[in-house]
Amino acid sequence: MFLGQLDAADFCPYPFLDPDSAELLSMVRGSFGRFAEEHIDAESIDRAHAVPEAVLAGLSELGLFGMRIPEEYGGLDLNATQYCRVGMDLSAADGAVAILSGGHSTIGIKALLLAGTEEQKAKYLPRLATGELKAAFALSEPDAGSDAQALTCTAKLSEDKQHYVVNGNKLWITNGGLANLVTLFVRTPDHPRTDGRPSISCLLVEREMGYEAGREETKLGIRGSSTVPLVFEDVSVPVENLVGVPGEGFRLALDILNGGRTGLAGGCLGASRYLLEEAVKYTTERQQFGRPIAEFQLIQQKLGRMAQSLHALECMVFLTTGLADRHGVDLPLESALCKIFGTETLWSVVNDAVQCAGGNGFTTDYPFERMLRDARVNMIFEGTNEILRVMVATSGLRGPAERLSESIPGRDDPYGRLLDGAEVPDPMKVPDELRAESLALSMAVAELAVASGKAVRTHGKALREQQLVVAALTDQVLATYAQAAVLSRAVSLHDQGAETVGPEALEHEILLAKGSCRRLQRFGRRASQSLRDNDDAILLKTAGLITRLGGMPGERP
Amino acid sequence: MNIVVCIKRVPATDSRIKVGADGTSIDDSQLEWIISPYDEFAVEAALQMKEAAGEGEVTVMTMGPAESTKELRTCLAMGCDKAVLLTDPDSGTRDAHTTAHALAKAIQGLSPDLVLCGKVAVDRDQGQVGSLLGGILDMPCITEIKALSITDGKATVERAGDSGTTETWTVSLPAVLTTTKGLNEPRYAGLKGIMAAKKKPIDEQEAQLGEAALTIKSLELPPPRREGRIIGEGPEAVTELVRLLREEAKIL
Repeated sequence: MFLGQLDAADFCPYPFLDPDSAELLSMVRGSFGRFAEEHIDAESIDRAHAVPEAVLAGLSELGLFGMRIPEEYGGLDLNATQYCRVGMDLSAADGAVAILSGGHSTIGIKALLLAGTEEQKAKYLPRLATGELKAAFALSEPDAGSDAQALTCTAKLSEDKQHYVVNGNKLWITNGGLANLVTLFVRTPDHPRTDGRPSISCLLVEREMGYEAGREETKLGIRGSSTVPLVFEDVSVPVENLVGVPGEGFRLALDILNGGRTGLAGGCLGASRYLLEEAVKYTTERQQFGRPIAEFQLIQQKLGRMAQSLHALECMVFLTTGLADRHGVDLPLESALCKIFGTETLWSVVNDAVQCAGGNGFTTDYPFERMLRDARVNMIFEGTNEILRVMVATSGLRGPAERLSESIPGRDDPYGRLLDGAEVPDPMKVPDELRAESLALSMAVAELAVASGKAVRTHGKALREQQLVVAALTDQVLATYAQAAVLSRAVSLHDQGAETVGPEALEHEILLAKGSCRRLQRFGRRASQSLRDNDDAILLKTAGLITRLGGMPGERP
Repeated sequence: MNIVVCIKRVPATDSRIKVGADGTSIDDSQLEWIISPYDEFAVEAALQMKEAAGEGEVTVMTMGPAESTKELRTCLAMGCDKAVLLTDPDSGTRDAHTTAHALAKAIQGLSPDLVLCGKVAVDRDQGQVGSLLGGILDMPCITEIKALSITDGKATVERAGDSGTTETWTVSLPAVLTTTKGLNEPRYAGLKGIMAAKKKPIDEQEAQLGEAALTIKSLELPPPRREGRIIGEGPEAVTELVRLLREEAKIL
């Protein structure tokens, strides 16, 4: 898309779940749904700062910890779409349970799935599937957050070369307090890399091998989830517990994180849907001036925009998981877009929902305040939205820029081609009602290519440092991808026909598609506008001043 | 102990029901489907009886469209051994008589010791299929049981009688029993059950429909409920209240 290309065949028809997969999904959801209704009390989990043992045991039996594990190792073997849909339910039921589940299935066990040997899988996966073992992913350290490669926790080979001896600290480890198997990333100086980069490897460390979990962090939200530091002091880990290629662990860590972000986006979608339903319930019941407040336009504005944003998010998340399932690959950039859009949609939805509920929204009598607290962390963890915005645009542009520079050797302005190549792609074939939206999508793609070309040409290799520029480009690509997803789903349902889909359902789809596309167009245009016309220089200068002064220059009451 | 459990897929209980364009059926295009909750008690009871006997087989059966495999598969995941789907794309419009005949035909071939079903499906709320099955199969039938045990080829059941009494019945098998709330807590379909269910057979056969005894002439939704009104306070309001109850609500 950065190149101005949009091929409808890439994302049409919309990759809906096939009937067999839908059947398995509905069975799993049925069990989880009933269990959640009967046993998961989000309010008390929030107050107790823990998920009760009995709930964990019950969920284990239902297969919570085996969702992503292949059948031959005793798991449910859900695909990305099914897993994401169950994650929506979990997030609606309780944010902490959802995070606990994701900490295990999305990132905790993924190294083993991606790079584990047959022996490693056979040893651990069956016990992970039943929840006997619960997993955590340990990458972050006190001085290695977004810059994870700076980690210092180290594993050195023992004299007999049978063990690694691990020393160091990990921080913010989700599930750290309850996990008994940690996917740990460490420096391995015994396996130096030829390219001079730090040698990082991945180890599976069992609780019994002797690491210590520190005190639970006191958090703003998702209080029922466990977040702790882990301390490794001469912990001895057998060499056969190294996963993947020695020294190549950082790539593995990135692959795990990159592949997992649709799960988090699905969680945000589930929570958003729940919030919208609660907001509708509240505003239709709450009477002021003799009528339900849902009849007032400023409330309708909120309900409408919540619906439009979450419709776009839903189309985008399931387009991404559907494509990932169809092609059997992870889609890192698209997943990152889902994570950014999902977490920010949830944040605006929960903000609107609290506002709809007025004073009640601010109290613990209603779920809104808890969900607001729970929602906030999503924009921070699994890659901050800032780091992801930089990642999407820079990796999205790197490939094309390099290819262009290779193909035209000696040319001073190798990136100029991006500008020249920007043609408006053919609009998608859509029902009449959505023609304008389809044209707008084509225009957005062309505009994106122009903006990308200009950015690459102006800043060249220094583009990465121009964070305001790359963030705006990412927002443009986000808006474009989301519009494509919305139109893909609407067109696919339209093609199935009113008889299959139901005439009313189709009408709703078109209305939501229209509204979401327009909202996204505006969002994309704002981003594109900000590249051409901005006060970034003054803004950055101000930030510099404030940093120098340590605050505002002086007060004048 | 061979047990047949009859279940029905019904719209989820929080669905918003709409009448279809033909005016005699429900528009099912946007509905989510579940196993009728009373049928889940029957499934659980069958599994418990089999487990108590230590041997036997539980067959779950439904008449419905092809999509009903979803509900059958859930029962298999709960622990039923096999499933029979009597396919009928128009099952939504069939009356109890037609349905009971089709089920009975298929049940006869299985010669079960016990037939269980929910006391009523929560969609049409007619509660007839269980009793009709007893009649057609020529088996004793006890409805709305809330306790069940089986010894020496006899079932002892409890059901709620009039004015809060509890009736206890003993019935020789084979018999048809319909189940109600309080009988048990249906189990969840868990990880192991779901994986096992993938390999269990679902026998699909065309429903041998009986003759309809009833046809639906038209279907309409109840009028929306009027908002409550406060007529007045204290004894003065009584006269007006009585007048309205008589003249407007016409219930006095």
